[in-house]
Amino acid sequence: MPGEDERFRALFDAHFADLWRFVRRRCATPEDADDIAGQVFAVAWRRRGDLPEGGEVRLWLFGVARRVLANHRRTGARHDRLVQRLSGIADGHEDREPDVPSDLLGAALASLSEDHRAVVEMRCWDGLTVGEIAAVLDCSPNAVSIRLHRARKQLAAYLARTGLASNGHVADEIAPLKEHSDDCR
Amino acid sequence: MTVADDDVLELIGRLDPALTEHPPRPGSDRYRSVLETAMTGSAAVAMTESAAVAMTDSVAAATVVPLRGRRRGSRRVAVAAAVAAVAVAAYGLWQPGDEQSAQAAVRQATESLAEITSFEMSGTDVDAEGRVTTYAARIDGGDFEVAIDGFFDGPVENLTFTAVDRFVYLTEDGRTSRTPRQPGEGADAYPALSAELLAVLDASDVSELGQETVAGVVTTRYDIAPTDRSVAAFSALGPIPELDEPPAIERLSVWIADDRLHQIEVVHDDGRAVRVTLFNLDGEITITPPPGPYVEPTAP
Repeated sequence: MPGEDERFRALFDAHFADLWRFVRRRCATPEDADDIAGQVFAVAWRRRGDLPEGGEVRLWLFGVARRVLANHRRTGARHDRLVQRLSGIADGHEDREPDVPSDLLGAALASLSEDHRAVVEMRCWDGLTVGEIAAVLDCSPNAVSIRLHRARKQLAAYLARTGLASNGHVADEIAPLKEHSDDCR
Repeated sequence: MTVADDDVLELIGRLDPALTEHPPRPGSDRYRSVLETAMTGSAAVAMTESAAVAMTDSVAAATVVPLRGRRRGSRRVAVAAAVAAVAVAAYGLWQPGDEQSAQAAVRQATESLAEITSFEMSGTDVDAEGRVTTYAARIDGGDFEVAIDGFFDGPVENLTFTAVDRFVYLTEDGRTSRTPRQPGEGADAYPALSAELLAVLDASDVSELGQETVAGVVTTRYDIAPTDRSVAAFSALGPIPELDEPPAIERLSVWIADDRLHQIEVVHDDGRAVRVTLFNLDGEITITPPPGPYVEPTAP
């Protein structure tokens, strides 16, 4: 039988990359992601005796990460910097000359409420199902569905105000992106 | 809304900040540093969760006991207690004036929660800011329909959830979307409450307050006061108690008529009050899907 340390290291190895990406998507820098991931796994270490079994531990870690991130945001303006940064991201390259659709999409995403943005991000970035998002947020799948429903409406309304959603640019942009967006369906 | 709605959501995926950044490689200094931080407990984890969870939780939605609140803990305690009361009354297990029997009945009812079949209810939720939300619900086994007016993740007017067979339908502004039902959406969520119900109610004080007339019905009122022990027991069930604020339910009252529950009221220490009235227990209730077409389907 493997020891406690060995079992935890196995859990860490199995979930670190996934958790790090989850955190990285919600904080300002890779260094912040390292710190926050460490805090999340510290909680897991201290509660190693009653962690969920199997795949549920991944969602449990995401749920802990949300709380740690919330605390992290309260300690500074990092989240504001991230939201500002979203408006400048183009294909993930901040220094690249921004293209209009990505700028607008980032601004549209940043315009959502925190609750709505959370479900969109988990859906589109983390590839979680409605049920998995509900588990992470500790809310009902219905609640997730309604948030997605409303977030879509708000995103489309935002883009419509810019003329993007109604002039075909969205559809034009999608074709080359389909194969890169499999997690966001 | 245009057909581009789903396209917009799909495009959000390209904004993923992690597309071009990668986690530290296994074995690297950063990787080992994070692991050591975790295992030595040097990370600062003594914090509290104060971010609001603005929506009803899974238990509330699944059981259609419409309780919302700023804090997950208090909401779940309230839901657990309310559903226990429903179960007790529905099965006629409550023993007025006998606290020990009441506790035993709760335990028995908790084990029987999965057997609840059908009922209707109406409710009012006044939040700490004085906003009023009303609910009307019908439940038939795992199917349910609940209409909401007031405030539910923003102002709503006649927002309706309908769960029938394999789908949940959300109707708002004359538009209906359809989503495959997830595990736990429906009466099958009752068994999952058992631990919480026992933790909260087994250690609570139950007292009979006498007769009251509610909506023309003569009832007997009981107050169920959570104790420090029941709150602590509930808190211990949370995934990470050190990150959650403790529950803050101040009082739970039930009104019983003819061995059946007639009304429930939950009062929180922030002033929020939820009152639900139950009727047509185990009556003939049929839930049907809202008429189509269904727009903006949400993938599972």
